[in-house]
Amino acid sequence: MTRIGIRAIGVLAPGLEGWACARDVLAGRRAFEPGEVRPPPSPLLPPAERRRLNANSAWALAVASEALDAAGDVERGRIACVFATADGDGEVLAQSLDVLASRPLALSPTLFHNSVFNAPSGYVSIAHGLTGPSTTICAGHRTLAMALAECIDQVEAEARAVLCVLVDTAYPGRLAALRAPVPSFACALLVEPAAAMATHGTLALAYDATGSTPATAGVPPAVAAFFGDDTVSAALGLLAVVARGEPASAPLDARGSSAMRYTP
Amino acid sequence: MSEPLYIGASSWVTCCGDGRAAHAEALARGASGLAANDFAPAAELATAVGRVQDLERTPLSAAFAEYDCRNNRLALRALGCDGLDGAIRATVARVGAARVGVFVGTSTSGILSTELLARDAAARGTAPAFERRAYTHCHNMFATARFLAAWFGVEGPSLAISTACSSSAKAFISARRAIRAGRCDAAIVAGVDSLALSTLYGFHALQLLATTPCRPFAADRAGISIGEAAAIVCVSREPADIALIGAGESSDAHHMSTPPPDGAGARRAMIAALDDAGIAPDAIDYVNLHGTGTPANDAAEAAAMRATFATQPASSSTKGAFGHALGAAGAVEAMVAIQALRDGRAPANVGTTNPDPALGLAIATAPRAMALRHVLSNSFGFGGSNCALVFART
Repeated sequence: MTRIGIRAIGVLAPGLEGWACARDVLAGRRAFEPGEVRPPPSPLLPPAERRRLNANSAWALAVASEALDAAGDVERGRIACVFATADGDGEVLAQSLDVLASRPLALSPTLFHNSVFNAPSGYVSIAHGLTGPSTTICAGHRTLAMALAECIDQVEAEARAVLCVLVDTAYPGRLAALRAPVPSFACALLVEPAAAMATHGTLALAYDATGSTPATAGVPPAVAAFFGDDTVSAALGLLAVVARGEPASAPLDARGSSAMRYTP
Repeated sequence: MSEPLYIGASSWVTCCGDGRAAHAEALARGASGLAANDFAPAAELATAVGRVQDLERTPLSAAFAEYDCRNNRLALRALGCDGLDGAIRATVARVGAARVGVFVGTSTSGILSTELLARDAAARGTAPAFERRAYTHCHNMFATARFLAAWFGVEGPSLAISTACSSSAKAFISARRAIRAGRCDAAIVAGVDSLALSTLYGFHALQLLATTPCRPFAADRAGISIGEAAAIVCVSREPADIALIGAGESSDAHHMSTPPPDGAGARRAMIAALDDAGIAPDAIDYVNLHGTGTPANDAAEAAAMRATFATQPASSSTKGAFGHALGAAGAVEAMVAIQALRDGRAPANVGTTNPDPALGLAIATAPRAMALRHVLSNSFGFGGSNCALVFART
């Protein structure tokens, strides 16, 4: 079984602002106090790109930057990226639908290029000079599971560092019938071959999970209840296991068909 | 040199027709399926489109009614050609439902359903009739992968890749990774993208839509023609006449919607694909170019080609035949590569009689019979997403 090492982590969500904060909240050492969160403007983007940034891209850039900064000196060309999103950018969708339903119809070029699901990949690659492979995966409630499997495959087959970024910002209320108004959430894991670097322990995929454990079993109930989305729950469950720093399994999806086995 | 991924049963549907025989014939003639825009919801746009006929009149059966949308209809239409549905079912029966994965590349999935609901509601002054289940089964980016997994009852890894116009080329790479890692034994790789308001009006907003059928690599090229298509391929380790033998990916890290003028990212993807295949550039007999028909993109790809190949191989863009099928383009052009290898014929750069001499490419302006062993296929997208695949006769 392939084990990958976690070199660095980034997190951004209400009450989970940065990995240091999220680690303490998820390990039960600090109270969960969700408030309004705005990703910090990134000095790494040219001004024109910074102005055009859509929500998913800004959140993805914040967590990718946290993980890359924490990792220190990693050759940028060695990094592959796996972006994951279950629903894309709801604000961009809402604005596009409004424009497409209006007369006269004038879609803005920026809104259109921000509507592609790999917009976060584009902005993050520009900000950090990431010239390696990058993909964007959508797989419903298994989005995180599929993205992490892709990361592990790449780490194993190509001995690369892989930056995995999960981002789903809140859909606006007027699209609540499409997607439940779940709070925004983004996290990033920079993973490497386990032998190379494992600052935060190692992970291995397991398919023997019985599905009896909910993804958020180890997550403080207030945090689990606040987010309540399948994909985010799986990410919270995994981050909570890492935060507690004890050997454990984290189910990766609501049906428990796969899990991550964590070793500190 | 990497282990080959073999091409099993396959079929495709584009504006040029349904199934492999129709496409073999269209490619042999250098035909185009592009026509003046008659896509009713966006009929005001003066452009050419590669519309697939009759999708409006072919709903899914009652058992799959919740998946009924233009994109899933298009996917099902391809399954109905060349005995593909039965061939995939036979594969599922042989290797087991848990060992078959689904990897779909798409840029807009079935978003048209939601766009039309929003437009109808605005016209009536009512609230749009959005529903969660219709969203997850039709509009969500994963919807066509969800549909194909449900249609075949398969339980292996299933996902959508959405990296704009490189999406379905990357779907081949993800499937290859999953098979190599032992996460599945066979994979249904699909590129499915259907006409939608956001893409038609979006490229119009960028002033990238050509008013007449696109002319990739022509000196007077004036933009793209959007098409729609489904191309579906079953891949596995079971030896077959054609294989994917190399793949390369890169990111431009340059700009959201234009490549760097020197095509550096495109070149890195091509070199990575050749290295992965373990072959030298001069082993490539034909290149299916991304060639969208915009002045900047074609110039950047030509620069990348000149930097990659000391002697230019025969090359062409087939977007003048099928239009730019966006997220489905990578899989459509994989099918072009596969058909070219089987027929021993480099397809024509349909729509362009006088290639721009300044670009320095060896553009095939007519279908050209030639011995083909290795074919490279380029797919590049917004966000600086580059992908190149090498297919070979085995």
